Amino acid sequence: MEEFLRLEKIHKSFVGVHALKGVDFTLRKGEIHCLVGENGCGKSTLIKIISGVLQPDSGRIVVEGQPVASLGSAATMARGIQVIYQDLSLFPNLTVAENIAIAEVKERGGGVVDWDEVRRIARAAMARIRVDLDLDAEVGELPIGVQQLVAICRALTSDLKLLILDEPTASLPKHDIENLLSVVRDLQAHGIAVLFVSHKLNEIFAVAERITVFRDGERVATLPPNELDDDRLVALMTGRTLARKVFAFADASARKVLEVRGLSKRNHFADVSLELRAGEIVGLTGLIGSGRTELALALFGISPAESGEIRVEGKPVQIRSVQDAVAAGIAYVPENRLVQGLVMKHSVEANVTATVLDRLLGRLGLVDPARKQALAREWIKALGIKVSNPAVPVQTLSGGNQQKVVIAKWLAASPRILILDGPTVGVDVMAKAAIHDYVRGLAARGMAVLLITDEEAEAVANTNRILIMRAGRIRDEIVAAAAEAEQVQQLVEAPS
Amino acid sequence: MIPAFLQRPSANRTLAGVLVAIVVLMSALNPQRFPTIGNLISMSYQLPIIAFLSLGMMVAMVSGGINLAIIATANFTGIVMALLLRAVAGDAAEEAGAGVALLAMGGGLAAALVLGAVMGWLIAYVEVPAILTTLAMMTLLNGVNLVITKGYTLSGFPEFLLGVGNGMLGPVPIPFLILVAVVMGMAVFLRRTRTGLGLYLLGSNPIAAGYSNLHVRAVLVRTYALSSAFSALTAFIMVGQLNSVKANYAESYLLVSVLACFLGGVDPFGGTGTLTGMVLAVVILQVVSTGVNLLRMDPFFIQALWGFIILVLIAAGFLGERLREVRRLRAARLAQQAAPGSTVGTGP
Ligand SMILES: Nc1ncnc2c1ncn2[C@@H]1O[C@H](COP(=O)(O)OP(=O)(O)OP(=O)(O)O)[C@@H](O)[C@H]1O
Ligand SMILES: [Mg+2]
Repeated sequence: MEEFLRLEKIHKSFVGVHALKGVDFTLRKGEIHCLVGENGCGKSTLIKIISGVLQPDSGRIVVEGQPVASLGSAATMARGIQVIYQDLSLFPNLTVAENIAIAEVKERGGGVVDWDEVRRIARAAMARIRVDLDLDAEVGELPIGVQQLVAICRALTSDLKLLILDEPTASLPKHDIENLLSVVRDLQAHGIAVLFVSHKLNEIFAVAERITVFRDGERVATLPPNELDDDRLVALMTGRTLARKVFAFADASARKVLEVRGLSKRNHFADVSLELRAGEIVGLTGLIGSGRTELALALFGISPAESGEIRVEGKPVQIRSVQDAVAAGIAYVPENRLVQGLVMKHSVEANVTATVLDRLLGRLGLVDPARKQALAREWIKALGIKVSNPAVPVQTLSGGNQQKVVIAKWLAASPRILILDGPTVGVDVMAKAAIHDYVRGLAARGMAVLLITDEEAEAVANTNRILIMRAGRIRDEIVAAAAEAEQVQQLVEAPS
Repeated sequence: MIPAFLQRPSANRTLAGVLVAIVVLMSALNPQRFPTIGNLISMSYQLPIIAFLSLGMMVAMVSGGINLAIIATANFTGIVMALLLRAVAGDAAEEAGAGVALLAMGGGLAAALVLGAVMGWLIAYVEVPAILTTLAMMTLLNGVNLVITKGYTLSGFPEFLLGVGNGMLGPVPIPFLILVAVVMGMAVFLRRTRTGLGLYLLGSNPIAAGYSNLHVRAVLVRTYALSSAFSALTAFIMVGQLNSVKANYAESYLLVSVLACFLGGVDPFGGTGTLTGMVLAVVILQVVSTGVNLLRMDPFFIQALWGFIILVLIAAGFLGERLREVRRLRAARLAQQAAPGSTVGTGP
């Protein structure tokens, strides 16, 4: 097959990090090519070089047989290359229609915006991936999964030859992932190449024609999927093999740490009752809009419930603010790390320690800088966060490593009850296993964990019970050990 | 919005270089009067006023807001002090002792703190934008100040207060000593307290700060109270130096304080800005102001100069970006010609 894009000996360094070490890479016309590798191995950097956002330190880029000096972002688009970045880069205060059509409308120029045209473009793009979103909804108000769809629609408005998707499925629920994968195949049928980054091995095998594996800034292999399996792939990525363990809850009669009775909030969830025992990891799943995140936000005091009772360690508590929740020993790892989880401009240290400043007080009640830094170092080590030192701004970390910072910051608060909302979004296989192990360890020492996830497999392997929400209520509860991921998925998608 | 060269970590070194250059320039232009001990002392008398107002502006800006009412609050504080002195000591205000003076200062400070807390409350809890809240407060206070003073100058302050603004300890002006102490206090506050560290977090991303167990609203209220406390400090020193209060002293300093933040590298969208940068910026502005003054230029020219400096900074920022871009493209093109396609770009 003819090649569309070739990279030769690409090098790229940042302060203190050699992100790409002489990478050679080719992409054929109309192929679906997957890019895999551990967090921080250079996938996003490679993509930014292809898209012209970053300039390589040295090396050569050839597009359709022509060497190019440097691909500026506009030049990239003119060559039919579109990128959807890991952080989406949407305009949160514009509507769905405006976000989708913005590039197209701008190109036509003329100074006056034709709103009918905007809506027509948006509808056409949505039709291509068979979604139906409210054109007038403000994007910032939408769940992350829906925002992802908006970003994909936006890329589909132009004349495409190569669509690059950097972890497009990281925060999409199952149903939308399948939809997206079929869109990807559809695009390919129209001769459009797709470069696809993902940490989810099953979807890589489902869609890839060729798989390129990166490790530590180098390309280690490019192979068709039939020459690989999960274990080989993980071995290529990490040089190690993955031990799969299933969570077992030791003490079914342990004390109840959290009891929720009849918790309700109009238009969000109704009559929710649940219990968490010490040492238990309970899964909570459901479609976007099923009320699971709203329930978590109520337990964490961000948007308190209107009625119902919450007991912690048997004592009734009022949770009206985050401060109340933290005082009760509740921690919440939010689902959207960019908006809710991290202060991107600030250092890893500032972020990790943000929740526990009052525990780092030294003489005169002042924050002790030495202890603050030591704590940050401790968590960087514990979760294997890839960063040269704690003073580095979080925004320069790779996506998966940013996610680890969010987790670290709440584990640092050593809560009694830990609510994890999509904690392993964008985290590589090995690190994901490490986070799961870590959480199991916390449970073994008596923490009660509520694990909210879109991935049924994650829930099945890491919890002892799974609660399934539909339309604002907990409709089913199943024992994880006896469950299959498919069964959970059926319950999630069952009519309420 | 802020020129990139003021945001980089090396920015403070650049500022220090600029300061040295300006001092050398001013000394060369006016060798008789600028590089003298007398001038140094006179500058350290004037510096605290610009510095306190700028620090008050800085904390509001780091939180992602602005405090347009700092001057009005300072004048109000001065007037409250004058009124308190009259109420307590009557016509004998000038002879009043340190106790009475301290009482007046305490009253003034309390008034400023209340005003600041009210602004902070409106911004944090009612969610009125800071620019609107503080603009309204400024307009309101300007009106109130005029009504109370009927446009007259109130004078006759006790010895103790004059000492705060005008006194010397050995060869060093007392207001300068106060400034040094306050800057050290601020360094501790910004780097070592929950509120100070939280201020930066919330200025950068208020949502994530709220999710991190930071009481965002309480921090905002404290921030504006602190900003107003700087107005009160300014008032203490102004009263001492002018031996009078008036409805609209120092109004042109509002722009200067914004300029100082800008120069000092405070991001007007919140979240960043160092104390070192602020101190350097404030000293630069004082040196420029004194230097130009000593050249016997028109005071109105000086005011225009501040606006000019802002525009130059903005232009320099854009130019710097542009130049870097042009240089990169040129390097890429040269590399291309030398050996077609052998290297791409230059990287930073
Ligand atoms: N702007 C930057 N400044 C400094 N370092 C950076 C910058 N961007 C990326 N890096 C570093 O380069 C390395 C590669 O990052 P990259 O984002 O390409 O990883 P990735 O493979 O996409 O990882 P993930 O799977 O977590 O998204 C990381 O160590 C990262 O910290
Ligand atoms: Mg990435």
